[in-house]
This record gives sequence, structure tokens and C-alpha cells, in this order.
Amino acid sequence: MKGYSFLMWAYNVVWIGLVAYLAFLVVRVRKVSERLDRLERKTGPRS
Amino acid sequence: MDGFLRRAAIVLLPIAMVMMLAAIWMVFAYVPDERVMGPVQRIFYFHVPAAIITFFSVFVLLAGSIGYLWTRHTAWDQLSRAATEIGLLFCTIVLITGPIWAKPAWGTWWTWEARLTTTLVLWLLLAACMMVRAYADNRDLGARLASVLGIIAALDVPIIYKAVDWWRGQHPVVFKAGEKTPLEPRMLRTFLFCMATFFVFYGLLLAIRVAIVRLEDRCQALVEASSGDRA
Amino acid sequence: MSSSGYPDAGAGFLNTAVAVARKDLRIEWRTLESLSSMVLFALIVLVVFNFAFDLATIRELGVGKLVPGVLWTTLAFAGIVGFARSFQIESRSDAMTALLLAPVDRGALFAGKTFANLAALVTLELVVVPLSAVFFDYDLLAVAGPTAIVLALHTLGIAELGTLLGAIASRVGRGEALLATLLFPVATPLFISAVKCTAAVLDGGGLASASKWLLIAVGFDLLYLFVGLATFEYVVEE
Repeated sequence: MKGYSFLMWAYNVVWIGLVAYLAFLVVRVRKVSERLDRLERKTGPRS
Repeated sequence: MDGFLRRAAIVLLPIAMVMMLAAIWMVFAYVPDERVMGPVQRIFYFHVPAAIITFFSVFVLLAGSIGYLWTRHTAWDQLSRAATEIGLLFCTIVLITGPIWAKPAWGTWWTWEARLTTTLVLWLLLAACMMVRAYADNRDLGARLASVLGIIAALDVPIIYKAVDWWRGQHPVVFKAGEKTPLEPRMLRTFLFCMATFFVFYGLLLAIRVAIVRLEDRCQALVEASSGDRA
Repeated sequence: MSSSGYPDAGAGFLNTAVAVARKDLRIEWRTLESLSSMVLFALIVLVVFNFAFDLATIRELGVGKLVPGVLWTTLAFAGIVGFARSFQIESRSDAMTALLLAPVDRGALFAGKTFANLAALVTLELVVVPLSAVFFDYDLLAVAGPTAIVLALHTLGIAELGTLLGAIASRVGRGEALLATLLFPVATPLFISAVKCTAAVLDGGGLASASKWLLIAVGFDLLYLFVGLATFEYVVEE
């Protein structure tokens, strides 16, 4: 039965790790896109 | 390229989520207990795919590094940057789930057996790649240096594995990547499905990460251009 | 320089490599600054190791168990001091740019610098290894031949990696700490092989018992010689 607690921890690490990183990336995409939009409005869009 | 990445990410995201839930169900409900180790053995279904993805990412890093040095197209370097970071993420997962599995299975948190040791050294190499990129003065220099380092590291991995393996000598072969006895069909199916899930997740993360790099590069270009105009 | 714009035939690979090596060695010979730092540092590390494992423990465990690891760790750390300096001297008065302006094979620069570093390391070993025999009380003369072979083979690999990674670290400007961070993981197989071979030799087994390790060392040396020759230009160019 004690095996289960280890199992739980391992799975938490895996999924929390992956999903947290994914969320982090998604947030970052949004922030960088906004920054890009602001810059483009200032200087005019580039190809 | 950016449109393609966006579409890829939008398509892969729900697929990845669904597969993830299905994988969790398979690992906890569908697959039977392993005879020797009991429930703890189920870590195998995620630990091993994570390791395989790590090595796949190193391969992508190698390709990107060679590609960049050969063609000097930033796209290759953007791929390398993403592969380094995501490879490091999966490597971390391997190094954390490994000991969590080892403790109940072998009674010890860590053992200097070939696979774990190689993964640890690989982690150090990937971290070093990221560091070199971060410390470089300008992006082109960072890209070049990181590419050379990426090639050095990627070529080194198989040698490290062989050397550590021989160093360990007659170490008892522990259940790691599936024993020579054929896996029971449900176990095999679960393992393959988890493998596929991780690949989809990797593709998703890679697409988004590369997209971020490209956006940041465009920001950087605009910043440089505007400061150049002002001067 | 010929005016045709084509690289001067005289500045071929070997000539360039030799010229670079001679330059580096001549600079070092004048002050012996790098070599003395390396030797002093190695001495300090040896003494520290002596406090870490006392003589009784070593005698108990057997020379082959402890000395190889101690010796190679010492050599590696001391070597890093030397590698970092190898590129520091180029940054003075922009010497590296001058080197790069010459239409020579960048791989030759790598070969020359590697050779100079190799020479420095060998000199270091000529001092440190006999000293370790004194400190840790083992008979070096009995196994001098095989030890020399093991040292030569593995030092070459360390010199190659130290030159290539040292160039990377110097471009990034973080110096020795970064170089150590880069060198040790990459050199893992070489380090393991060095310790195994040295242990085999010291335990009286001779080189034959460590043949597969020698194979790894040779393969490693060849691989990174090739990698260094091929990629050095990307590291040093402006």
C-alpha cells in the first residue's frame, strides 16, 4: 500500500510539471504578442 | 511559419489534453499490477517515455545545431533553443520520477547505474547549453556557441552511456525499459499509448516554444531598428 | 601575403598549427605564469585531498582505489586554470582578431592551441605525478611506462576539450567557473576511463586489463579532435 504514495507523488510531478510549463508558455505567448503589437504600432509593421 | 505553428498548437492542444486524461485512466485503471513490484511499477509508464522524449529532444538539438552552423538560418537556432529547454524539462521529470520509483523498488533513492547517471550528466550538459546562450553578449554569438556546445553534448551522450555502463561492471540488471520477457498486452498497449501521448505533448510544447522565440526575435528586431533610427 | 587574394600556400595547416603552438609556448615560457599557477594549484589540491583521505585509509583500500581519482581530479582542476589563461592572452591587445585576419585554416588554430595546452598539461604532470607518488606512497617507477601511456592518451583528450570549451567560455566571458561547468560533464567518459586505466596500472594489472577503456579513450580523442577542427571557427570568429 505504501507504494501508492510514491506513485501519487511521481504522477503529480509529471503532470503538474508538464501542464504548468504549458500554462507558462501560453501566458508568455500572450505577453510577447502584446509587446510585439505595441512595438509595431510605434514603428510601423515589418515583414 | 508562424501561421503553421499557431495551427499546429491549436490542433495539438485538445488532442494532448484528451490523450493525457486517457493515459492517466489507462495507467491507473486499465493496466494490471506488475507481479514483482506491485502498484509502484506504474511509474514506468511515464518515466520511460519521458526519458525517450529527452533523448529525442537531444537529437532535435543536434539537428538544429548542425543546421544552424551549416546554413546560418535563424530557424534552426530557434528550434535548438526550444529543444534545449524542453529537453531539460523532460530530463528533470526523469530525474525526479526515477528516484521516486527507485526508493520503493530498490530501497534507495539513488544508484549510480548507467541510465540514471547518464541522464544526470545530460541534465548538466543541457543546463550548460542554456547558460552559455544566456550569458552571450549578442544573439548570433550565443547561437553559434550554443550550437557547437549542442553538437559536443549530443555526440557525447552515447559515449557517456557506454562508459558509465562499463564502469558499473556486473551490475544486476534491474527492470527499467521492459524486461526481455514480453510485456503483457495490456501493459504494452498502455506503454505505447503513453509514449504517443508524450510525443504529442512534446510536439505541442515545441511548437509553442518556437513560436515564442520567433515573436521575441521580431520584438528584438523592432527594438534594434527603432533605436537605430533614433541614432 | 600573396596579392592574388588566395591564401598563401606557405600558410598551410601544419605551418599554421606549429606557428600558433610556438607562439603560445613562447609567451608562456617568458613568464611561466600559467604553469606556475597550475602547479601551485595542483599542489594545494593534493594537500587538501590528503586531509580528505589520510594515508592509513589509502594503504587500507589499496593504492589503486583512491589515487587514480585523486590524481585525475587534481589534474583536471589544475588544467582548467591553464585553459582559461590560454584564451585570456588572446584578448590582450585584440590578438585574436589579428590571428583571425590571417587567411589560415581555423582548424589549424585549434590544433596549435591544443598542442600548446597539451604541452603545458604534460609539464604539469611531470611535476604532479611523481609528487603524488611521494605524498601517497606508491611505487611509480615500477609502472612508469604504462602510466606514461595512460597519461598521454587521456591528457590529449583533456587538452582538446579544454581548448574547445575554453574558447567557448572565454567568448562568454565568465572564465574558469563556466569552463569547469562545461568540461567535467563533457569529459565524463574520459575521466572514467582515465581513473580505470590508472587503477589497472597501479594495481599491477598492466594495460592489457584495461584495453576496452583505452579503446574508449582513443575513440574519444579522435572524435573530439575532429569536432574541434570542424567547429573551432564558429566559436572564435567575430
